[in-house]
Amino acid sequence: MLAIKTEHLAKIYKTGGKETKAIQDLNLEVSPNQIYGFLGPNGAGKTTTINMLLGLAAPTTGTAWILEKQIGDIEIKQKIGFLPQSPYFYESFSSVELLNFYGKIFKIPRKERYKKIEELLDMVGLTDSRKIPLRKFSRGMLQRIGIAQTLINDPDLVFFDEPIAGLDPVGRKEVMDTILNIKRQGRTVFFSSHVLHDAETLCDSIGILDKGKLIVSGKLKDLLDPKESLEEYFLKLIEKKRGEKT
Amino acid sequence: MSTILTIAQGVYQRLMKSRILYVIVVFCLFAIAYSTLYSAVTAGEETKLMKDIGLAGIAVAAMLISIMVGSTAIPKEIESRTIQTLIAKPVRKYEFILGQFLGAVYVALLSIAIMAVGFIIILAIKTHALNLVMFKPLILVCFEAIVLVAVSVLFSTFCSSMVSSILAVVVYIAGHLSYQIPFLVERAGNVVTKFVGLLLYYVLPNFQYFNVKAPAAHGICIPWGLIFGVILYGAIYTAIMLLVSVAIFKNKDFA
Repeated sequence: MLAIKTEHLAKIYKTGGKETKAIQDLNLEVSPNQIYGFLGPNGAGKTTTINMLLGLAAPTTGTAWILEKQIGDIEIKQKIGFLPQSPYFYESFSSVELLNFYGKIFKIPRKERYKKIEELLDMVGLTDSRKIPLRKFSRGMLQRIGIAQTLINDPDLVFFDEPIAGLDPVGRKEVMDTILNIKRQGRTVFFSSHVLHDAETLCDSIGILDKGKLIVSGKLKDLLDPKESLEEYFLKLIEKKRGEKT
Repeated sequence: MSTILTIAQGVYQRLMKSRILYVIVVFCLFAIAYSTLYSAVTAGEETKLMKDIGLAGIAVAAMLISIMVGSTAIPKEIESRTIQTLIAKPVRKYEFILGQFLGAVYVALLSIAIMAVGFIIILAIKTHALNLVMFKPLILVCFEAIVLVAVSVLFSTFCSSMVSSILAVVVYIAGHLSYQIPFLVERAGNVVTKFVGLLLYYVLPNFQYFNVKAPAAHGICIPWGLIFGVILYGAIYTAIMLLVSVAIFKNKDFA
């Protein structure tokens, strides 16, 4: 079983008669129970791909399957979690109110819901800030409550869009530890990033996207030479591909 | 249905933390209470004047609240990107629209109920009687508010909150004047003008149907048949607005 599969997925935006190919002919396969890093420079199309997989944007052509079900099937969403890039939540809500709201969306029974909320707040270290409105949270705290809400429904697959961008070193370490912990619980993690050093530490497999095209996908250990860093590999590959086009 | 109610509850929780709502409700109650002082100088007409001012005050406050809550709920979710997290969960787009609508309606009706209770109490103190006849125009104020929330929600599916608020105010004013369109059309010589006039007459909500404030203030009995007829009209118009909103929203991207 594949966690994610896409077939000829494409997204073209039309603005003022001009076409922008955000994603072109994307064929991707992600195996379960691993951390898959979806990497690429800014504007490569990482967020667009995640948006299409989650039903936030309709593909122009092609299709995709998540956990063997075609995108658009509402049932898939029972089994996935999602942390958007720079997450924004209802700022007048407290952590408990936010998690309770999302728990109700998943129709989790009240008793089980509140037990889960306590577990998650404890996991992300926000138990003491449980009643503070989110508008008073720091960026790192928002990221942590964001991670907690992705797990409210015990998902099999979790999407993180740039989860470590803009965080300080302590915040980055906390988020990375949490992602590793999520994987240890037997879940699949699909995360987009352009912070390559951290991606190298976390990922089992990677896919590199440039200008809307997937240029490589595979296990990290198979792609990198023993003495080569992911950053060196990434820059070499991008330069090579861009050189081929010119 | 539970997803719609959960979203509605979320909208209600967030809107109830908005101070502007309380300001409008308190201001309206203050205006009604103030009218008791003013009516003291209009001998013989005190009660009628109080009823007039009270009903008109509630109707205006209801209009402001309905437009405010109806126009802001969806654009706020889009502008603050909270919609991304919500739509990525098991929420269908029509459930999102209906949830936002119901939450906004709940807040609008709750505000009207608070103002209405205040009005009835002030009136009871002044007249030493419970003016139950006032409930009929208040019921129609509630249904006018529901229609106005639906109109605001429709605009907010494709406009910013500011633009949808302005459009909703325009529709509110035009909807109160639309009953005059057939008379104007009769006098118009141009076929195009006639066509546009009739089109507007049928497309715009006829808010005058909901306005029985004057006869109620004069103590004229309003038949229940009329009230139910207007409620039915309001329900059909609201359903159409929501269907169009869902159709517009269905193909929207939230990237």
